[in-house]
Amino acid sequence: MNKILVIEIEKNQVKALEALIKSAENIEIINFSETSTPNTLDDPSMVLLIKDLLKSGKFKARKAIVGLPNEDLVTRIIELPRMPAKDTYKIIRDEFYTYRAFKDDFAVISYTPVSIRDDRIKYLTVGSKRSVILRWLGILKRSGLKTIILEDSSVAAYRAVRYLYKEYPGDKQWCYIHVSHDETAIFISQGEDLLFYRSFNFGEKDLSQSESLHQWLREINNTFSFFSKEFAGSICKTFINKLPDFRSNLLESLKNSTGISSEFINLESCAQLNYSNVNLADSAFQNSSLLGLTLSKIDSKILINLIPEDIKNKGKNIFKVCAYSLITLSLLAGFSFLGYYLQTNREVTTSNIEITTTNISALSESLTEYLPVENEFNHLKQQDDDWKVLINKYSRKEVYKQFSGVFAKLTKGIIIESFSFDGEKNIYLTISSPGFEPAYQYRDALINTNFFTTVVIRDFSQVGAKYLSSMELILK
Amino acid sequence: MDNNKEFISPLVKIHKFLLQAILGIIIIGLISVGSLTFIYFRDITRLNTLASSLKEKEQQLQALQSMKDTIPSIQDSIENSRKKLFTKNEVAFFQKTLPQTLINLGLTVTNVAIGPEEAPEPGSFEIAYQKLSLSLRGSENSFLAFAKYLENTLQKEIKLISINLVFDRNNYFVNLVLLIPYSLPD
Repeated sequence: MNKILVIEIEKNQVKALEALIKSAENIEIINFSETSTPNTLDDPSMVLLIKDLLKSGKFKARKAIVGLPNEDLVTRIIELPRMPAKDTYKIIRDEFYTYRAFKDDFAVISYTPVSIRDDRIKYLTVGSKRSVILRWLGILKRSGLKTIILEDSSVAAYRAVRYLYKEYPGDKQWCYIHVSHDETAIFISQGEDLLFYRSFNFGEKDLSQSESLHQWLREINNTFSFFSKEFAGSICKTFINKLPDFRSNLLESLKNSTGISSEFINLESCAQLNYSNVNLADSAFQNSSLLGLTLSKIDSKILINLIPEDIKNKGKNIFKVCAYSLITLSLLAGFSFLGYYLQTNREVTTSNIEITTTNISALSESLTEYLPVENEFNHLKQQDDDWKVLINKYSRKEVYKQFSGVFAKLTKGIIIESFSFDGEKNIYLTISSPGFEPAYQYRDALINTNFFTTVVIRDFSQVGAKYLSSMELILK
Repeated sequence: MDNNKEFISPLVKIHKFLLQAILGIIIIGLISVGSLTFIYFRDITRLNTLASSLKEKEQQLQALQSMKDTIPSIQDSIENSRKKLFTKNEVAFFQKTLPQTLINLGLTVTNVAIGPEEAPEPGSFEIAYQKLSLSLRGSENSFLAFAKYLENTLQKEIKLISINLVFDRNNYFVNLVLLIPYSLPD
């Protein structure tokens, strides 16, 4: 729960109230103070006035909800068919630019739906020149305040009346007349629906004179007549804010003029307000604007805030600018680095390509010189291979194998009866031996020479005392 | 002031401009970096191809250098191989001295027949052949000595085409045909 500072600014008067909203039904008034000057103040004097008020009133909160004087604002009801929010905004904005006040300045507007009938919506719209809003925001800032809501005091007062008389029957039409220093604003409602709004330039300052009072009453009466005629309505009750300088017979004059019973707003009887801890002046109970401004924190039905979006979102926009700047710089740096890296590497690659191409050319020339060597090598290699095949084919070692293999292993008693060689690998041999056993031994001896792949005895025969063995040998 | 216009704060203008700048930088950056990347990778691919080609040529050159270095040893090998064959004169000398050599080895030469010079084999060799038919008689030790002579003493290649041996009355009777290859003069 934060303390809320609410300030209502009039031309020559500033009122401040500090409240603690515990719930919608329990609002504790902590502090109230007001000050006024006989003359209209310039900006530095207004800053000093607000500062003095906050200091003398010992206000602690610095986040402020501020109600601006009606004279600086344009408040209207605009009825539009139901349409997308963006289109609604454009139409209302364009409507404001048709007013003479906004010919030479940007319009700051705020609007809220106040009545929905069938497909038509009535918007309570409040607008002001951007320069006016910036002026007030500047004054408040220089006064040491952070403004969180800026709205029309009369709209805030209307919000308070709706809050105070929310038990009023929903089918009855009622009127709230808000009298400020220079202007009178008339709000006509049925239940919570705001049906009609009008303001005119007769204020508190005019009501002290008899002639002006009659003119004021006539304006009220005309407004009611117009409403009855246009809206086929019948107002049952009128509420009016009580100002110190009001004539004592104002309510009676109003009733006589309009035929509708009237009463002053009196916050003293409001059960939702807790002001037991503070000694409030009478004027605090007669001012519904301050209560209405306080309620703007909890009332979601009438939302008016004239702080321009760009100022509300200043922090967000600064963050965005910083973030986007950072992103822009990062992207620039990233792409630059990547580009530099790629370009440098490309230059190195191009240089390497040139060097490699040169080397390839040099090698190709060398290869051309070496081509005869290859031909000579191949020719000589072929010759060498052929020679080796030839030498192998006519190797004299074979002769030795044939003779020594057969003759060197002869043992006593074995005689080679016949020997024939076919010129290739095969040797056919007939031996005689004293028995078969020596023939086998001779065969084994031949095998052990390793000159032959095959040594076999094909046939045995006996002729007299001789044993003949036919053998077949295949040279390796 | 133009009517019907929204007030736009400088901050909003700046961040909108920055947004456009970001978009512009991204587009230009992507195009530039993309182009550079494309060119870079094209060059890299080209360099790789050239490097492969260079390596291939280097290997080819090394192989050729190796061939060049090997040529003398091949020539030596060919020369050694050539030396293993008789020359025409050596064959004549061998045939002339062979009967006496055989007698010295303990063999009796009963017949010697020298064949005609045969045509060279197809190919690049300038060689010829001559057949030598021998009829010999002797002991097994004599024939073994003849084999050892062919194996160790004679340093030229010679091929035994056929051999027929018969044992009779304590002696071996052998008919053998030798094929003598010899190189022709260059």
